[in-house]
Amino acid sequence: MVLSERAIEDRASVFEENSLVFVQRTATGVTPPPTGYRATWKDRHRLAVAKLASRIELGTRPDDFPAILLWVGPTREDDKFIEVHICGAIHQRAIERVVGPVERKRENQIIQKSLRRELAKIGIPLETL
Amino acid sequence: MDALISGQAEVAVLIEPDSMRRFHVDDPETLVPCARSDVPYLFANVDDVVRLSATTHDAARRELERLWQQDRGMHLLLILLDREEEQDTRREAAECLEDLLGIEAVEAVETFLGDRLYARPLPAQGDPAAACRLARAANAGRVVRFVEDLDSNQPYVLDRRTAWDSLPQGLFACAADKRAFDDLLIARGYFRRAALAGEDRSRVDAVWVELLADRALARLPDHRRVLLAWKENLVLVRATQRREVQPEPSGDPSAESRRPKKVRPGHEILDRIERQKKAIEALLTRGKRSQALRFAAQLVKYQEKNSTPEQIAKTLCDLARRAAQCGCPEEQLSFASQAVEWAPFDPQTHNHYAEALVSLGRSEEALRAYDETMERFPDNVVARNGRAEVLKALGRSEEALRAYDETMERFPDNVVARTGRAEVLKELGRFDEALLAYRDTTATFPHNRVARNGLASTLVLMSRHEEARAMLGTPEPVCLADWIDLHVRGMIFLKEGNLEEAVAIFQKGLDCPFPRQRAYFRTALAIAKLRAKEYEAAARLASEDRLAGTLSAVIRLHAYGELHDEEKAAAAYADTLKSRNPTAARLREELGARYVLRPPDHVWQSDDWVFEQECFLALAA
Repeated sequence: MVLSERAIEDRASVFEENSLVFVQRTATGVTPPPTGYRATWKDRHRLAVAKLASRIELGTRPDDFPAILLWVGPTREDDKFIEVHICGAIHQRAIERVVGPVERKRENQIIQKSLRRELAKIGIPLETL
Repeated sequence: MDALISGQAEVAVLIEPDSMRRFHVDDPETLVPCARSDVPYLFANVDDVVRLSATTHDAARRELERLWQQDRGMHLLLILLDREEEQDTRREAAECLEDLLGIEAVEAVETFLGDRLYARPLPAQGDPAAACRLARAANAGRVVRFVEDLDSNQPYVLDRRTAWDSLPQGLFACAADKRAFDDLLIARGYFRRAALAGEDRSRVDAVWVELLADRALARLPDHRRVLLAWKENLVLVRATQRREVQPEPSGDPSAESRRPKKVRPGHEILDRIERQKKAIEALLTRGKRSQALRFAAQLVKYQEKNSTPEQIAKTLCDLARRAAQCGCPEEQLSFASQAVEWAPFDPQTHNHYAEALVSLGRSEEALRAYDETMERFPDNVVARNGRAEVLKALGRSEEALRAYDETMERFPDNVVARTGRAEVLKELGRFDEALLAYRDTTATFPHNRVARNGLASTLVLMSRHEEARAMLGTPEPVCLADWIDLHVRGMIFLKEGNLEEAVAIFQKGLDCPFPRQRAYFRTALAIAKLRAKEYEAAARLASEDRLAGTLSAVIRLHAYGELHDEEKAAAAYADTLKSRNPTAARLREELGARYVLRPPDHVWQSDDWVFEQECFLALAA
């Protein structure tokens, strides 16, 4: 599900890593984290630079950015990413588009077709990868 | 090895003492290592996870396939039945479903779907007639038979479900218990079997014998009492549905009985009902009451052909609500009484009936109605709050407080009980306690406008006007809470002696679309006129009021007394005797002594005292 930036930009913040892992590692409990690990949505690039600047080299191309930003490890706990926190509920109008796999089985293709129609009714495109 | 499997997630996880591996339904031979922390993500948002103990990879693969077929079968059936779905997609769904229904297994897809689809009536969006036609075109014989049977058994499905849903919550220790029963009855196919037994008494009895002997159900608390109550309810449901067209008897499924019925699209029916409801509301607004009642009777007649008794009752409840908003309590009572007749198992209909009695000022009868509703539906919080509200209106404030306390104990998150209790405290003049209660409520429910309005009016009564002003919303009212805010704002000006601003606000309030709130503006305007010594205007305004009751009687007594109209003042005095409100009683004593009884030994209160008491009544209303 890809959210519309307009719907979340005023109520989203970013955090340097998986907050659960951070809390376990730093034993900060439920108290606010120390400064330097969070940014507002509009300043997310600053957090990304602070965390990942060392991984950007002269030869790094824009296509490489997603893999730098999100690294999938052998387990969930090993995943590396910047976490987004959104305050409040997500309305359907906040969904910009839905992306799913190309289904191979006929049953799933029919269900996906139906889902595509349902989403289209509320103006959300379904894309397949 | 153990395994966790979900057809919805299309995944099985094999758990061995020192490792975990998963496989996908599309590629069961490829095992991917995974971590314990992955499990919640793999099975997020699914509700069909099965755990197999001491199993094998092959058994897990077969189980995954079975669960997947069941889940996809359900999706395809719902697509086929959905009238809003595209015809091509529905036909393809029928083709695919035909294959799934043909698969033989321990719990076949057909049984799985039947157990669930027979548990509740098809929604208005369901279109079994077209589903059958499309399945026939797709040469899907099994699907045609399944949908035809489902369609022809809908009256029985509805009976069984209504009888179950109307079981009082008091039979169960908690709401979760009722859900546990429901889930198990569905999973073990009892709704399906009970519906398929139709009118055949011996088959119905056989289902109940099986039910009572079921060991899984016997593990649930009080299972015997619950199941027997369900059976008893079923008999009652049939009796109340006597006005429904009788379903064709089962047992001999002839070609005629299998013919799909002509089904009117659900949205068309709903559109028509909504249009008629609006027309009835318009008639009530214009005062054409007998015509409105005639239209309502026609609407019920129309719904008898197209809707269930519960849906008819819902329409009537909605009409009762609209009649209340139009200030037509007699029609409100008429609609609510009919609703009770159509759906005696629905606590909502009883609550509407009691509310209508309240609107008519028949508080004692309303109290009895709420008492009966509470006895029958002990977990219905609306009836509890309604009863407490009536006790408050009857001047039985301590009982009202106790009633709210009991409700809050049982339903701690119920904001209506919390604000109701605070209102009683406010009416009793226990402002500090009321303030505390309102503050507590606004802290928990910061967006609740009733609590905020109540807090603001309590602050006004405590002459803390600036704090009250800070709580009030936009001066341009849109919703009911905005209009209440405006009323409180006007009362602040009135209490501060700014009659010009107060009158301007109350005049504006006469255009309020909510009749009861409009009545509050009218009586507030009348108080302002009394303050300005414009007694004729005050008397006229109070005489126009049909809804504010006690306060308007007090204002009439005051105004006619000042105008030396002894007859009308005496009549108003007699009207005030109906109220048990302590403030109204104090005002009655003072104004009655001034203008009607004139006892020689009466100790007179000042005009300011009378004004303050009248403002109190206006704000505590």
